[in-house]
Amino acid sequence: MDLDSPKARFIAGVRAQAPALVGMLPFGVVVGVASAAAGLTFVEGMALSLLAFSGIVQLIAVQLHVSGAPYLIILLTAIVVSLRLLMYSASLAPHLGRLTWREKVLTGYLLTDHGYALGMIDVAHHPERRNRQWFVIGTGALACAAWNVSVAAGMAVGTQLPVSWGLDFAVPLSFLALLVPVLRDRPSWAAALAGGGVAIAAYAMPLRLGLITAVLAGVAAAALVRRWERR
Amino acid sequence: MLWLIIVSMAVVTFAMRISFIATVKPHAIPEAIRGVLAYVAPAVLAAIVVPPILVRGDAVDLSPDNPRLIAAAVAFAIAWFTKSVVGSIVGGMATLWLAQWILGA
Repeated sequence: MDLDSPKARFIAGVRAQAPALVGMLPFGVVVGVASAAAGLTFVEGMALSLLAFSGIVQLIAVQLHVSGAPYLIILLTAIVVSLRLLMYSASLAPHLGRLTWREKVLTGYLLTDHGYALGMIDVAHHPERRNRQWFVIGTGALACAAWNVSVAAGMAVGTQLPVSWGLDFAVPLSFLALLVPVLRDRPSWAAALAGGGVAIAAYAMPLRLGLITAVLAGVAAAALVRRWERR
Repeated sequence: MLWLIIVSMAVVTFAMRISFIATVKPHAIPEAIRGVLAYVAPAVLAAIVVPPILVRGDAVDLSPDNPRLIAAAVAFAIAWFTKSVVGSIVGGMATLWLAQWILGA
């Protein structure tokens, strides 16, 4: 079979995504539980999950909604935490080439943190491969199906899961497993150390602006180290 | 009100994801910006990962009896040496439960 065909690339994406489900499924359950606890009906919770398809945005939306935050604050917070998707989009776009509108819409709906990280690993390991959009769509298709099933399960279970199980910790662990392979040179270590350090220092910043501050600090640190290395 | 929030969240996430994929031609992004964007991933991932590991309650806990720090260290080591995503997450969760049980936390 042609390894560059859309179908082969889609299957490769599904396969690459599969291991990450170990961390994603508990995350989805946690989000489903939080949605039910915030008083959303099953239909409302699943509509949010299917339409937004972003664990962090779903968590923030239901938490802020239940705390009675004004609409504009909820909107601004969602934009701020989603800015990383904008950066993913900008970072991935040069490696995708020319897409049809159907491919653009599918990639646009299905691009996840994991899909982006896996896509960039694919760029590093197989720079010559074509149809990378179908690899990314493959990661997102499996992620989307598994995600919505796990959110539904979480909403059905409601608040009966014991907190002491620490299932919420599966969320950072799944992202940690993605972080390790991208620590490939000094600038990327600088980005991670500055990003993680500033995220701690700026943890209490309002509107979750700490995350964006940390990301900008991390990217700036990487740029500085890169410049210093080239001298 | 809730449905306005739901639709808004959908518009925000979709717009962010499709932005550059829909508009920018590959070579339209300058090399300098491309070089820097390569480091967005480690910065974002570390910024998401570090706070839930180190922040307990309202304080930063770097002590060896923070079960989440121990679990994250084990998960990092497994990911680093074996490159296994599943092994890293399963090993991390197992370590968390073991550490919580031993430390009684």
